[in-house]
Amino acid sequence: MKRKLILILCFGFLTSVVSVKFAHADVEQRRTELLKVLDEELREVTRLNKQIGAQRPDLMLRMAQILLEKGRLLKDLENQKYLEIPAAEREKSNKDEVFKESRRYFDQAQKTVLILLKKFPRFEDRSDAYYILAYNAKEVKQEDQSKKYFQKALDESRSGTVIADKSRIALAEIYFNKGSFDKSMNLYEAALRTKRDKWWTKDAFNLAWSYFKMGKYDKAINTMTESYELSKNNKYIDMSKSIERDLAFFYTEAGKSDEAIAFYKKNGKSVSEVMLKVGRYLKTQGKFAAAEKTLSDGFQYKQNEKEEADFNIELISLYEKFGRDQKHLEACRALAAQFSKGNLNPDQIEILKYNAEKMSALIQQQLVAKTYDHQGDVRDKKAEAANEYFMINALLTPAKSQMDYFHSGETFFAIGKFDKAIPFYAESIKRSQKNADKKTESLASNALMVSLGKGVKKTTAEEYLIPAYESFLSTNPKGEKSSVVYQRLFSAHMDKKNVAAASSVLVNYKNAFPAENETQEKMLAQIMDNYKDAGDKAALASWVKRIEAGEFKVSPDYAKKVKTLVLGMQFEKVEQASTKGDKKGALRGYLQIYKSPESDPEAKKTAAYNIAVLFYETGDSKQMVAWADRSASMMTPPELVKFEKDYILFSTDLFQRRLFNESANLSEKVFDKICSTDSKNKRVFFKNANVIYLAEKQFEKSKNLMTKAPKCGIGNEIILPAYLDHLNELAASSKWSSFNDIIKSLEVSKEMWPQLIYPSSLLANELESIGRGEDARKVRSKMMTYYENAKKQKMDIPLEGLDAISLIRLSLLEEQVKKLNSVRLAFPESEYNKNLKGKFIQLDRISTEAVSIAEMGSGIGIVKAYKLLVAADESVYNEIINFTPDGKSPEYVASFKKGMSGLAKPLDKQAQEFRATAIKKIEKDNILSPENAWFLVKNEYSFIPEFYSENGAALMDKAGGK
Amino acid sequence: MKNSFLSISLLVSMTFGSTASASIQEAWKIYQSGNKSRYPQMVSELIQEKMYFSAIPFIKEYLVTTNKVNDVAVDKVLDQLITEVGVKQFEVLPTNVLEKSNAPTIRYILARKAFRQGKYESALKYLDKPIEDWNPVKPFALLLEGSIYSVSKKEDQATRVFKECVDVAEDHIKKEKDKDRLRQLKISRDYCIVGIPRSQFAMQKFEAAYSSYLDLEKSSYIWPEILFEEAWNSFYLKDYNRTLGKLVTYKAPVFNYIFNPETEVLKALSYMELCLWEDSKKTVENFYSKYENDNVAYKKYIDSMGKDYKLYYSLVKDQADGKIKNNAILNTALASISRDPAYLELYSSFNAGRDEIEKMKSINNEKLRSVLNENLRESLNLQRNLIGSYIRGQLQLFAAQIVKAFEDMSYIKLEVLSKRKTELYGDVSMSADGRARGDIAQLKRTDKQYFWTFNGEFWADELGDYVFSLKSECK
Repeated sequence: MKRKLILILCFGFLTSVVSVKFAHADVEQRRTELLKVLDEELREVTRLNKQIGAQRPDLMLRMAQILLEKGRLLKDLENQKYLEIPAAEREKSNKDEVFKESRRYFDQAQKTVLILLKKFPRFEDRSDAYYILAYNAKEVKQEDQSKKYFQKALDESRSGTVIADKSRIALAEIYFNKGSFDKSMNLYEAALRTKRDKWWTKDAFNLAWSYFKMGKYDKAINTMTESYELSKNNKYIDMSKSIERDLAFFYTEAGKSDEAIAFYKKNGKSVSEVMLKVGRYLKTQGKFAAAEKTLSDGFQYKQNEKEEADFNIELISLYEKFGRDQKHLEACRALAAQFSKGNLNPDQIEILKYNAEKMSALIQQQLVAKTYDHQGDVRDKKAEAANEYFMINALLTPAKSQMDYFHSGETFFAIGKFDKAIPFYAESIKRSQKNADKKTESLASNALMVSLGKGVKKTTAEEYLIPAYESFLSTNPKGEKSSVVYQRLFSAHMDKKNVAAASSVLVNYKNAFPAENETQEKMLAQIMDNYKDAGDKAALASWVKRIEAGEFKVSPDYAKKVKTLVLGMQFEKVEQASTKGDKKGALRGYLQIYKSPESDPEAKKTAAYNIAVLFYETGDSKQMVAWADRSASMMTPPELVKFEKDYILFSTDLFQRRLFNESANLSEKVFDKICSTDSKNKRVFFKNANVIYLAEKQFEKSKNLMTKAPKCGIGNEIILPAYLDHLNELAASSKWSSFNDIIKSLEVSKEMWPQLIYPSSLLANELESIGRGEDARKVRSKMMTYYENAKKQKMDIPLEGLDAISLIRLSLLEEQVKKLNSVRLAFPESEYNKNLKGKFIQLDRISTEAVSIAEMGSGIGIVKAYKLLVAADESVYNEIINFTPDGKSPEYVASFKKGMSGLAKPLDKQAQEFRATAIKKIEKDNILSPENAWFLVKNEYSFIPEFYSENGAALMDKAGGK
Repeated sequence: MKNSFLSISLLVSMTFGSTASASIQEAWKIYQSGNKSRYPQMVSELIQEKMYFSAIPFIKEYLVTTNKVNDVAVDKVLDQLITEVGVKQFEVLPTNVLEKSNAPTIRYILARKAFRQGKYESALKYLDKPIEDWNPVKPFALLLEGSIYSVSKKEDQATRVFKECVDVAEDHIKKEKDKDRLRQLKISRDYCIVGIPRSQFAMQKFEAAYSSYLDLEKSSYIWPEILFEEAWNSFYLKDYNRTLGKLVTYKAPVFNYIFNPETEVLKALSYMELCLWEDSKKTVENFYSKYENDNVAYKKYIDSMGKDYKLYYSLVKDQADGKIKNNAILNTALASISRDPAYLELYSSFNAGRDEIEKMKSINNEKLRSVLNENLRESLNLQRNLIGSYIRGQLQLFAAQIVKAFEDMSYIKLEVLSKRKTELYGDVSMSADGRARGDIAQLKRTDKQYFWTFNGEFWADELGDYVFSLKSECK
């Protein structure tokens, strides 16, 4: 199955579709896909060649087509990349390098075709081969070569074939572009006999132009209309837009305007649009009169404002040419209106501008030259026309509109109409200022001054005097006469009660003449008096602020005077009320000051403080605390220090009124505020706040307070007791977790260790009581470490700490005593001796430990240690004395007892001595211990009585609560 | 009709000797006489003894040495003999030798030779003289004649002759007992049946051909190969879904032996016409990957065998004996040949010839036996070579078909790529959305045919009736 290779289609697409379709967004995707397909084609052709086992011209041709096609696609890609390179870099880049890949494929295609033509000179489709060569040459811009090959392709092709027609069209395009319309016409004619593809309409369009250029208007029109009709069919390229554009030329040139109108009407197109086109065309051909007529006629068919503008644009140059001034002005006026609506395009704006500028200048020149001085009406009309053109100019170019207004003024000045000129000068000045055109402003300003001196109407003078001064000062802000002009302008404004404008003059004056303090003060005084009289405190305050900020250099006396004035105004009445004992009135007054938006912070805080004092005095604690808090917030730390005693009074008052939280919060607030100062009352605020927090069980607040205390310079002598209080309160509240946390945080500092012994013992006891014996043991071990370290460092250990340590040691001692008593004396003799010896050794150890505990200095430890020691001695003594060996002879027993009695006696003696020592210590050292009774109470009962209140005692907490 | 010498002799022999030995003796006598003009009589004697292959050299010698056979009895002998041993043994004789006889079988052979050379007029002339309907060669001659008209685009004559052929063949089938001959007759009849649609196809009357093809029963020996023609017919009717449906039938295991690379080509073409580019390309690629390597080995293999016909003969025989080669193409090709009616005809004749070896043992006359043995050996050698030659021809044909298929496939792929490019250059969306497959709306019905959709299973009664329902993606 040998298939005819489709050459023509590919190139048909290459020439046109590539350029048209690839404009779409998916161009990249399509190209990539196409390259893939081409690669596949190349592989397939190669495979086919291999299968066939011989070179075949049709396959070679196909290969060449694919190579060429790939080359073109790659070139598109390379071109795109090349254009993406910044211009500067692109200039330097090597084009050969950029287009290397596509070049390679073009070369391969070329080579393949040349081999094909050489090897198979009789190859039936050699026209296709030449077609490739032609396109290749076209690619590398070898036009002559390309033309030659297209001709060859045409010569070698069979008539009526696609390749023949395509070659003809390619050649026709070459000739068409060169302007050889006779040749292009013939070639197109031959190629377009059959409507072979969708490009027919496009090629026919060129053929029509070729006819047109050759003067064959009828054929040109017929071909165009045929192409137009086919363009409606979606099987053909739509050339309708181009045809609609160009066909009007054809009709006009052929003198068939009526047919043109008929054609466009028939096809539902705008006649006015066509007439406009024709008019334009006629203008390009220099047929101005015809153009004016066509356009004027067409103007009747205008459909919208855009078209109206298009017509007017075309017409104004013709009106100007034929001296139709009124029509010209009307057209310009209409265009200006369209401009205001934003309907003109940049080109149209330029044309309008050109015409308005030209005409305004021309008329003004005539007026200045007094051309129409003897024709008053004409002159005035001309002046009005010139003015209108100037206004159009001003509209078109707002940035230079000041000049147009100035010129309008000058135009009226030239014909002696000063009252008319003055507003234009004034407007010119305004616009000059806006557009920063000093030169025009100066010119207009001078012209305005001169015009005002030309005996104008009073109303004109009144209206424009101030602008004149302002303008003068604008252009001469620091000139010789300026100081006086400023003062006159100031006065003029003040006369008109325009204080704001006068203020502005003052500011400008100050800037222009900063050294003129006196004049400035005078101006200020006038302004301030004005506000004072008006009772405008806000304005006064604002000026005071500006004066205080140094904006105006005024004498200190004046400055003080101003401030006093303002404050005085504020506190005047209130203080009067306060002095008279009218606390309510005073409170109301301070409150007003506080709330007034015009009051400055200084006044507000003073008012707040005074309110707090007034409420304190009236006993309204809740209001007092609120205002004390507010005033404290507003005051600076040094200010607060000044009033700190008052705040202590406030907080004390609150405490006394059982408003504990309020009291503590206020203390803390003041403490925070004066933290960085060297106030000695800081510790008072700290302690007050902390004690109340603890009493109220607000442990977190207490903790936070203690945490920030060191930063505020509160020493350990204050902070540590606070911590210990905190710990005690935590223990009392069974907050063991927080308790432990505090201990851990304090433990970091070894200095704290002695202080931590006692609190730790509380923790240990708690742990033990809840059955966490091991944890208790660890805590006690730590306590011992604290103790040992403190002793080593010779640090003072609080008594409770010593008590706690001694209790630990005593419990161990107690164990030893129990152990001593657990071993009983018994015969045989050897065992008796061994046990007795052991007991003496153990007793010795107990004695050493007990003495050591007693020496620690803990009262509890001393008494309990002696108690255990005495008990141990007495126990051993009694056991020896009371022991009677069994089964022994009376003689032996007697001898034994006697011997033992001698041995035991020192024990008894020692026990008595220890007892005496203990009693002595209790008495001497005022020891109060639960064990005291053991030594001191001697009664007939074998127990020690304890006393309790019958009614139940009421224990008070620190805050006085139960 | 003038009684010839041979006919008298035959009558004599029929009168005086009805035993085998009598015929053999008579044959011996004629042989001994050295009179070659009497060889037909001798052959007749041998035919009576069913020693057909042994007789072939005698009759060939007679034909070569005689000027003209003008004896009905000799023609009858020729007809009888050729009917038994097949036409191939005599096709190798030069035309001028064969033209000496007017025997219908010889004329048939001459017509075949002319037909093969494209000399259709000459072929028709050979068949011009009537052949009696009862003549064994008649159905075959009609088939040939119909075919000549068909290729000559004489549809009416062709249809007429084919219809006659079907009727005559049916008559012969009713009377025939021999299994091999019965098969040949049925095949011949069936070819005549499809001769009609073939003629219609040649005249581009695809709609008519479409219906005429349905006259061939699926049980026909030749139905599998005709299915392919039907597929082409559907293709020309632009009923690509039916084409694909018919082609898928070849995937049925029962058709494993069919060797026809063109089925794949047609499949790829059908996909292409449906604008199913990827399916078409896939078919091409699958074909290449399936056959590209095997084809190289296949070609190398058959080229290495040169013209050693004995080798070719053994190749098919080995294959039939279950010896499989390591080459898919070769295996399918051999399987296809072993079921080929022409091959079977040659092979069954050859086997019949070998039966004569046994008969030879019963001949006591040593000299005669020696002569006949030599004859038999010569005939069987020729028969084997004819088989080998046929096989070689087929294998070479297959090789050419594959190369042709490769070429076609490549062109299809290039065409697909070209169309894909056209799509890409044109304003056609690249997305493959909305590709509806298996849409029943794609079916077209005719009253002669049931429609089935192929669901991956093959059922004997559905073979050939599958219809795809792919939607064309052509824009």
